[in-house]
Amino acid sequence: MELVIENVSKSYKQNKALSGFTLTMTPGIYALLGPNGSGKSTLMNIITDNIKADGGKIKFDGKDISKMGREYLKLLGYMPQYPGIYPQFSAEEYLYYMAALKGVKDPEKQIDGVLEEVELLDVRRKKTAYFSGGMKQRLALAQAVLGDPKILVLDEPTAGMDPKQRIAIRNYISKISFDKIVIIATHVVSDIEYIARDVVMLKKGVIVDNAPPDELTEKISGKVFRVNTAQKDVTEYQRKFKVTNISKEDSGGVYLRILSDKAPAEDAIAVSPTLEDYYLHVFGESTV
Amino acid sequence: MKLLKFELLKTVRNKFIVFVVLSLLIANGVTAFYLCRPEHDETTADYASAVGDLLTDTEKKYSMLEDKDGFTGEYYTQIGNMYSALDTAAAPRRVSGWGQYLQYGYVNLFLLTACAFCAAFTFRREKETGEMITLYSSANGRGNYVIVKLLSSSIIVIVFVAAFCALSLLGIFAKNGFTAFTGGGARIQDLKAYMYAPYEISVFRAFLLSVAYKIPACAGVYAFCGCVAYLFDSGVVPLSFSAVLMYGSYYAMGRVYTNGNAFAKNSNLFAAMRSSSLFGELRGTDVFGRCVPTYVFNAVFPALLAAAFAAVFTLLHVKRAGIKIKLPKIKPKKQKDVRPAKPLPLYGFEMKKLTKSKVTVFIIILLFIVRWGVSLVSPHFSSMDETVYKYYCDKWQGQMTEKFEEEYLHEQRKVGAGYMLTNGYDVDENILGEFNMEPGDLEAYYRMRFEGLLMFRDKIDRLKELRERGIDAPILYDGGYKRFFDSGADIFLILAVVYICTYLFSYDFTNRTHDVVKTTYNGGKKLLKTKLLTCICLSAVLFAVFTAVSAVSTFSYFGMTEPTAPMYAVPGFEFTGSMPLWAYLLLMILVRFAGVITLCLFCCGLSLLLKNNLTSFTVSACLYVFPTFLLSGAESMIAHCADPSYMLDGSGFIQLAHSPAFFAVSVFVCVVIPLLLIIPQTVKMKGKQEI
Repeated sequence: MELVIENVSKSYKQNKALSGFTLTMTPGIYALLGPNGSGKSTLMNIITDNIKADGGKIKFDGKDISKMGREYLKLLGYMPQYPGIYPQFSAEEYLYYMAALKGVKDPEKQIDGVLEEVELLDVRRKKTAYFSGGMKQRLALAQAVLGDPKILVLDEPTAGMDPKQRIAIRNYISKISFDKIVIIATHVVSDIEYIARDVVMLKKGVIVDNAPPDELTEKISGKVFRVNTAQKDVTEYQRKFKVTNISKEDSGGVYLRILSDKAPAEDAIAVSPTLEDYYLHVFGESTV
Repeated sequence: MKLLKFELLKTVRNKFIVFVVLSLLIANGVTAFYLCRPEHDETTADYASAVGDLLTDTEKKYSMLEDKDGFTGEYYTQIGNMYSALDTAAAPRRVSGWGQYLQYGYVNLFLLTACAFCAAFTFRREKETGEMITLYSSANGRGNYVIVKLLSSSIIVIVFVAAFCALSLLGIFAKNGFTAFTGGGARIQDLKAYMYAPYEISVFRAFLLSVAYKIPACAGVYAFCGCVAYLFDSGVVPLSFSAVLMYGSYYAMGRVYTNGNAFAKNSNLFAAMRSSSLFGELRGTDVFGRCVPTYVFNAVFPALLAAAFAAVFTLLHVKRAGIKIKLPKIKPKKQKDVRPAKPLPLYGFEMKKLTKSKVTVFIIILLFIVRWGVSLVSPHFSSMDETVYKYYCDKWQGQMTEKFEEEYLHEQRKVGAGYMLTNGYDVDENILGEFNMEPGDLEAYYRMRFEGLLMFRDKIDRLKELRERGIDAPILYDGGYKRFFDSGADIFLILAVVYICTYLFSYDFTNRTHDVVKTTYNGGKKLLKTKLLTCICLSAVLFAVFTAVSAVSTFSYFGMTEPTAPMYAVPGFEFTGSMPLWAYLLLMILVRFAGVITLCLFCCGLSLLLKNNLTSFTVSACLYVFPTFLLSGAESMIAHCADPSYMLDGSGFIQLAHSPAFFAVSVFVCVVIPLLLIIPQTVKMKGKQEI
């Protein structure tokens, strides 16, 4: 199973959202990382056939998806960034409706299982109008995985969830990803750090980096430091370096996490880099 | 003041509101220009010459008259006396288009629509954008917010009234020139329509007063729609309500008024805004034994309405914000388990979306109730005349024989005598003697019979005309048949169909569910077909129920006389042919049904195109409702062809076929345009996306 994106471009009037995007995906989790406006949502909308690309092709197992028509849609599961859910339906009814739309046979067999995985089994007969943001998000994920799609496209899947649910959903996505191509767009780096097979970093519509998380963090090995300093010096450090974290210590001093090619201070201690550090390393000028 | 400025900016910077209001303003100006007649200067010589011609003509006719003491003779004498006095008078001053401005009524429709529309948006904006919770938690977000909201609404209403009135004036003056802008010192008595106005006032002051007079009614509609929008958290609901309020009161309540129900008249906001109520009405309303001038009542009622709804909005907001409770307290809704779900075909889910939406169900029920109410009111408003008409129809039922004609002429003479008596003319003693009646009895007789006989006379004239063409039609009582096709109440069916279609088709876009739905296996053409089928089925069911309501209420009151008689026995059923009445009814119902389905398809196509249920509802309703109002004044081809009374009134629709141009435009508007809207969207459905 292979999804090949070849030289895909898309512009909105003068703005280039995607420019010659090329990527080959096989089963596993692909994380799309990038600041706002980097082209993540546009790419997802092109993959889900919601919008047409200006140029380039997307092929699934060698077949052009634009020619596959409904057969391609049968392989697809999509969870948008702001999922709309019918408030007059219960969770169960909503999933039955989505099952009918997806052409899922014997939906009864799947729905309870999916609801259990997203921890909504207890409230399956409650109207979704009463659901919290996190519950709606989990229900949207449930509909996306319904019908066992081969390509799962998830836009900010853990937004609005508490840490426990976040971990549960992260693990669930990881569990179902063995025979699927899962594409996740997120700003929450920790969500994909441990589960993503490849992290695709996007900037102004082009890929700036594409590698497994470990390889990416390895690139900034020895460039992340921990510095203990006085509160009055924080502004000066921020002016000179990329400061990725500031926290107060019990002793009254301040602990700084700094990205730098060389040690920012004599007493600076080199620490293990994280994906978040790498994200700031790449996009730092626009985010810090 | 700062809050007020921002509140006004929210409205001014809303492109959609600005677009709609500007469109209504332009439509108002164009309508004013189109309906206005050009006025010509009258010189003294022209005037004297016209009066002289009239007197010469009257004298000529009088000299030819044999019965100089009779009714016609008296009439000519009176004309002579009246115009002889005017012969030497100066020509009336020309006061540009003021008279036409004060008579121009469509501005009220445009104005009320703009108010309803703007209120529907502005009062739910914070809820829609999710700002309400931020608003509640800010220091000025409760009591002060209400004050600012009401103040800004008042300013908007005043600006709207001023703008719409100014543009009406501009449209009318554009045709009549801009002379005498301040009326040239003329009084309203100088205007033909206000010749008998009970008080003297300059036309310019009358104009200013008529502008001010509209403010309470507009404020009433604005406050009502705003309150409903806030309460229901929906823009479609207040628009439906206001349409029902305006149109329903115009048709149903206005008719009740003809039987003397002053309250009904005053609850009609169109009537309340009419200048004639301000300057020309002598009638007073009896309130607790005291006579209050109608114009006062008309201004006070809408103002009270506005105040009441403003108070309800204040209570709703303040109570919800929890000023007294200190902290915003949102009562948790009780979560009930619904019945276990089961797999359904797609159309089952589409039906569920509608039936499980409380607002939708509420609107449909409301429209049914109003339709039923109109059905009850409509046939009874002229029941006395109808009874007399039925009496005559039953009395002479069958073919028009010589005996019938003799008796009929005799009856006409009796009623004519009654007319003369009640209008202060001397009645020939012989006539009184012939019928053995005292003058008082004759007056009562006249009152009972005159209107009914006029209706019957029209029928007889029509049947005589048919007989001359070689078509012999019998006399039968046709009250029920005629009223069954009275299209006045079709507005409620139109609103219900428009609401259902726009809801089903646009809701997915408004609710953002379309993003997911279209990526599914059946989310393209199959879902489109399912939605179309659901809309058509529901429209058909609504049509069946509305028709049944209309049929039961009409025929239970009027009865179905001689259903096997040929259809041309009913004057007004112009479609030539000898089919029986029952078959004609059935055919017309089928044609009306086709009209409903066309409306349904049109709304579906429009919703797909506009992708917003409020916008789609508004545009569809406007397209289908506006021509009804325009029709009476503007003899426009488009107005005829898109008019719902023609769309749904089968006989009217078929009549259009007599004119190839009308028919071609009808087909274009009713069939080609919906198809043009639907087909491209069907093709693009899957691929189109707005980011």
